[in-house]
Amino acid sequence: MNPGERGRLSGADAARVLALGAVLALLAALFHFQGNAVNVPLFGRSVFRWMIARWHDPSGAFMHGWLVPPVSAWLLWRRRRELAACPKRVSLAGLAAVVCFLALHALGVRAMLPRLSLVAFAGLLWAMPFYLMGPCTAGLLFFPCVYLLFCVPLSFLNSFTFPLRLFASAASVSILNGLGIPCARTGTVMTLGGGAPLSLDVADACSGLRYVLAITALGALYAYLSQTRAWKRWTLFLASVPFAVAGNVVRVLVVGIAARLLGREVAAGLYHDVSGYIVFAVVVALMIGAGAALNAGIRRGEKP
Amino acid sequence: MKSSGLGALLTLVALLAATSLGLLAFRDVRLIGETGLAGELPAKIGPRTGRTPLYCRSEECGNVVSDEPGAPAEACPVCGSGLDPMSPAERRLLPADTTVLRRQYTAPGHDPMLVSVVFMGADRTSIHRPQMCLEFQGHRIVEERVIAVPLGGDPPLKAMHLGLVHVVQAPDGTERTAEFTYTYWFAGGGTTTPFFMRMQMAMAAERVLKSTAHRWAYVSILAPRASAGRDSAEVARFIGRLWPLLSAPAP
Repeated sequence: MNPGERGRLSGADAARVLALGAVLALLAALFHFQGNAVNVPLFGRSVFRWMIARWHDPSGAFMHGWLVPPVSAWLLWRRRRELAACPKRVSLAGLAAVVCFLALHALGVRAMLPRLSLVAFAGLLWAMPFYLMGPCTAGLLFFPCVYLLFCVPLSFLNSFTFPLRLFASAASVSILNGLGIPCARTGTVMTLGGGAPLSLDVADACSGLRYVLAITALGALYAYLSQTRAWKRWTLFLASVPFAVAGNVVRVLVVGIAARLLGREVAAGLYHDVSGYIVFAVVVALMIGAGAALNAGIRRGEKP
Repeated sequence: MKSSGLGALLTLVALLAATSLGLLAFRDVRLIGETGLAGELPAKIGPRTGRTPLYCRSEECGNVVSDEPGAPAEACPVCGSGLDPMSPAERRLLPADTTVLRRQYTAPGHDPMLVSVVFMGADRTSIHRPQMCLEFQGHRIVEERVIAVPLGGDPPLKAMHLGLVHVVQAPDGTERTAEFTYTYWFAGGGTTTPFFMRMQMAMAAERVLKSTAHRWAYVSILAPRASAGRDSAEVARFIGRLWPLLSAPAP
């Protein structure tokens, strides 16, 4: 190559760049301009616009969605050298995955189920490199792409709000009675005795659902980064659900005890200002403890 | 095969383009307009007489007036704006082809019952998960169960029955608590269900498999709740009278 030709693309390379541009443009067309069929005047045709509107759901259960794409991007960045070193080959299994995720997207649009389209989008971000670059690349991309699913707003999970509220109030009442603070429960309303009766309602915001969703995302990340074996990762990830529920019960308990000992105003202040931190402190402590226990090896002689 | 070969990239372009064209060609489904329900609510249900609440079109005003028989209200008596059977928030948030019927049924010695029927348009988001709307309106749900409403010789109608608590704060800071029951079910394609998810799945399956979309209706009844755990018998009796009138429209 002479100096004048340096920096120029060959014909084949230019065609590849053009084709790659076409892939990106078509991906944008499919998901940004044809991705949504739900309430088009309000959300437009973009499935991303629909998703971001859901992240701002007043329940606050999906606010962690904003953090997920940057975390995925970071997970990808930390594997960049391994990705570059992967042997590259076209994979027909990857092509089959591309076809499946495109069909899922079409199904999502046709059935007016934009969550399916979002799953298809994350799937395509994994399947297209799988097809073009092979299974080694696909293996490294798998978790960062799966992690994107945590930003899909699963609003139907709100139906667990009421059972979670009932559980938090029932568990808190049992523990408060065990601690010697007389407490009765009607539905989700706790009435504390031992003085002037004091009622506290475990309202929707106290159901713990928003913590369950955010903490499972955190649990998945922690399990991926702290464990090396698949069963340990799954154990730690699945444990994040009961950890989040337990953290929420501790929160309701602390607010209940504060209400009894320090008065309703202090308890209300505690609830608004610091109760979220109580949940996270409890859950992070439980998660680190469980992670350490798994790393130490449950069976003697097991490799961590 | 060469890495990231041009052929593979072009195959990908072809697949994405074909999906895009397919979506353009087959995105829309045929809307089946009939819900199988009456187009208006009955004037009387048992001893109760119905009045249609009308909402001031001005969201700042927020006034609600009752349309009296023989003297239809035409403008808001507070601000003079026009009146609408849908609230400004419903107009803003729901798709334009959504239809709402609403009537407050009252009679001396009987609990008032506010009946709402939301008819879905071409877009399924005309009907939301009811719990979400109630929470946005400031209600707290304290009870949630399915009740079976006896319908004479027909199989009972299953409806979701919620207990609601609504705290209203007066300007002087004092709080007043009002308790309600909220009973609802969904009807469409000749079937009913108390479960939102089941309705969604039925709609999705119909859109994908038959390329049609029945209009579904969401029927709800808001009534006062005297005390926690109160029997839902009165609401069930009311539904037992309402549903045969609503689900068997005059030919």
